[in-house]
Amino acid sequence: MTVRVSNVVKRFGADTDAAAVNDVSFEAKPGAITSLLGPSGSGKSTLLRMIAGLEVPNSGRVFIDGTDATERSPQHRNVGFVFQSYALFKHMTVADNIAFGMKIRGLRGAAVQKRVTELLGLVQLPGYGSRFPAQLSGGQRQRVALARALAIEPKVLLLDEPFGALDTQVRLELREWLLSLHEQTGITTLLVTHDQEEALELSEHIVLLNEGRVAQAGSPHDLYDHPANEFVASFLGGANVFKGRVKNGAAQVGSQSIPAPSGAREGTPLQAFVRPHNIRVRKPTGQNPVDLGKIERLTRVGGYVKVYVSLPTGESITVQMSKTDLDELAVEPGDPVAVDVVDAKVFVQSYSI
Amino acid sequence: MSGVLTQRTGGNARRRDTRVGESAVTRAILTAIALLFLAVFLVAPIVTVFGAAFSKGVGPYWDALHQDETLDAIRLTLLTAGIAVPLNVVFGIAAAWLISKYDFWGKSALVTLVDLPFSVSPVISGLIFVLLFGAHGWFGPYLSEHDIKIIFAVPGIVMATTFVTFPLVAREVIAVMQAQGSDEEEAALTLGASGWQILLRITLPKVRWGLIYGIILCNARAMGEFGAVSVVSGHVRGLTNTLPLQVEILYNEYNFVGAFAVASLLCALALLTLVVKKVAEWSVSARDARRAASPHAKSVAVEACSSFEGVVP
Repeated sequence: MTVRVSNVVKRFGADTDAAAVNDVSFEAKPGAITSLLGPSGSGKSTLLRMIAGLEVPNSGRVFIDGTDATERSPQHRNVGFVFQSYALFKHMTVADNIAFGMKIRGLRGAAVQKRVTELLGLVQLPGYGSRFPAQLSGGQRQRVALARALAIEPKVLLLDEPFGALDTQVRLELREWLLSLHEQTGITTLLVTHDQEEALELSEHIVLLNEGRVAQAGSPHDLYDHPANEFVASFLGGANVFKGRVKNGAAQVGSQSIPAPSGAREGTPLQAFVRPHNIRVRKPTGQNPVDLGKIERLTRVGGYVKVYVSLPTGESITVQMSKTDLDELAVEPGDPVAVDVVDAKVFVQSYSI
Repeated sequence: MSGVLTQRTGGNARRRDTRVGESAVTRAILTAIALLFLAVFLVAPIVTVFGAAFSKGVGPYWDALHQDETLDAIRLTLLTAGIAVPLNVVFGIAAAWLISKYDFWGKSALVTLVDLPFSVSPVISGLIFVLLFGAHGWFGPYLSEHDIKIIFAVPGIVMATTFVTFPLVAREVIAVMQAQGSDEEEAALTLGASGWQILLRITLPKVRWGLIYGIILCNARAMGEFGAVSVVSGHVRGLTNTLPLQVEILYNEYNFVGAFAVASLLCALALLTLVVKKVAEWSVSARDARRAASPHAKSVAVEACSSFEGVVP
C-alpha cells in the first residue's frame, strides 16, 4: 500500500518562522522500505509524525493507500508507529503491550493469545510475554515495539530512528533482522534515520531531506553515484571538497582535469566532491616534489585505513584505502606521495543575488 | 537531616555506602541532630496528645468521643473530605492532563495559580468565601432571596476545604505526568485508542502513585484544615463544627480530656496516612524494584502533622 505526501508544509510557532517541513512531496512504493534520511533538524521526524497523524500539516495532503488521510486522526489511520524511545507501556507485560491494539479493536480471548504468541515468535522473543519492559534489553524492547506495531496489521509501518538508542553491535544485528522481517511481512515501511549507512543498506528508496526540503529522492545507487547537488554529494559518503574555477571547460582537481558541467562559463567558481575511496595514493615517480602531497596522519579503523594528506595548495584531504593496499604502498607519515583522483562530482556554484 | 534522608531513600534502592561525604563523627552528629529534632518537634507532641487523651483512662476517653457533638463533628469532617477529595482528584487530573499534554495561551499562569491556595493564609482563603457568599458579600442578596445558605453552613465548609486543598492532588499529578512525557500516549493513539481509553489504560496507571500520594495528602489536609473552615463555619455546635474546630471548643471549655481525645483522632489519622503511604510504596517497590520506576517518596509525616498546626494545643 502506498504512502504519498504532497506539498506538505509544517511550521511550529508563528507564520514567519522557518518551516520545519517546507513543501515536501514524495511517494513511498508499496511493499518497499523507504528511508527519510537527513541531518538532525532536517524535518524527517516531523514528516513521519505527520504521516502518522501525530502532527497536523499547515498545508499539503497526506495520502495513505490512495485515500486522503490528512484530516483523519491517528486513531483511525491504522499505521504502525515505532518510536525511538520505544514508548512501551511500562506498567504492562510484553504480551499486554502487544495485545493492546487488538484489545482496543474489541478482540478478546484465544485469538489475541494466538496472535501474540505468533508475533513474539516473529520478533524472536518467544517466552518473553510475561516480562515487563524494564526487564528487557534495548534491542529486545525495540523488537517488542515492532511486534506491538505489527499486531494491528497496519497498512504501513513507520519507524522513527528505530535503532538510534542502541549500541553499534545491536544496531547492525537489528538492521539485518529488520530486512529479513520485511521480507516476511512485505509491509510498506518508512524509516526515519540520520545514519546514511542504515539508509543505504536497508532501503530501496531514499528521500534525502535538508532544512525541511527534499534534497534528492531516488535509489541509494542514484543518490550515491549521481548526487543532484552539493549537499547530497557531501552528506552521502563524505567527500573531499576541492574549490577552483572553470578553466578551458574543465575543473582542475589535484593533478587531474575533470570536465565541467556543460554550460559552465569560463572562470566560474566550482566545487569538486571526491569520495575518500575515489582517490589513489601512490609513490611519486620522478615528479617535481612541489606538486606532491605529504602524508600527515594514518588512522586505522578496523579493516581500512584513513590517510590524511596535505596538498601543496594547502588543502587537506582524506583518503580511504584497505589495509592491504597500505601495506603494499609502505608509506609513513611525512612521506611525499602523488595523489590521483579517480572520480569526482563537479558542481558550478550557483549565485543568487 | 540524614535520618530523614535515609528514610526517604530506604524504600527504593539500597544506597551504597559511598566514600563521598562525611566522616563517622560528622555522620553521628548529624544523625543525633536529626533524631533530636524529630523527638522534640514530632514525637513529643504526638506522645503528649495521646498521653493527655488517656490521662484519665480509657473510659473517659471513650465517653469523650461518644458525645453527640463530637460524633457530629466526625460525620461532618468525613462528609467534607468525602466531597473535597474527589473534586480535587477530578480537577487535579484534568489540570495535569491539560498542562502536560497541550500548549495553550495562559498555561504558565494556570500552573502558577494552582499553587495559589498554598501561598494564601488559610484565614484569608476563608474570608474570600465570606466576601463572596456572606450576607453582605457579592452574592449575599441573591442567596438570601433564594434561601440558600453557604456561609455558616456545610456548603461553605466544603468549598473552603476544597479551595485550600486543591493544589495537593494537582501538583503531584502534574509533576509525574510532565516527567513521564507523552510518548506512551502517542503510541496508544497510533494503536487506535481513544482519548478516554488512553486516560484510563495508559495515563492513570502511569501516574497512579503520584495520584495516590496526592489523594492521601489531600485527605489528611481536608480533615485537618482549621483556619479557612473556622472563618466560614460559624461554630454552630452539632451542625458546622469539624473535628479541628471541636478540639478548639473543647479546649477553650477546659475539657482537656475531650480536646485531646478528638486531637488524638486527628493524629491517628496522620499516622494512618503514613502507614497507608508506606504500604503503597512497599507494594510497588516489590514489583518496581526491577522496573526502575521510583515511587514518589517523600516524608509525609511532617506535612501530615503540620496540617494540624494551631489545633494541637
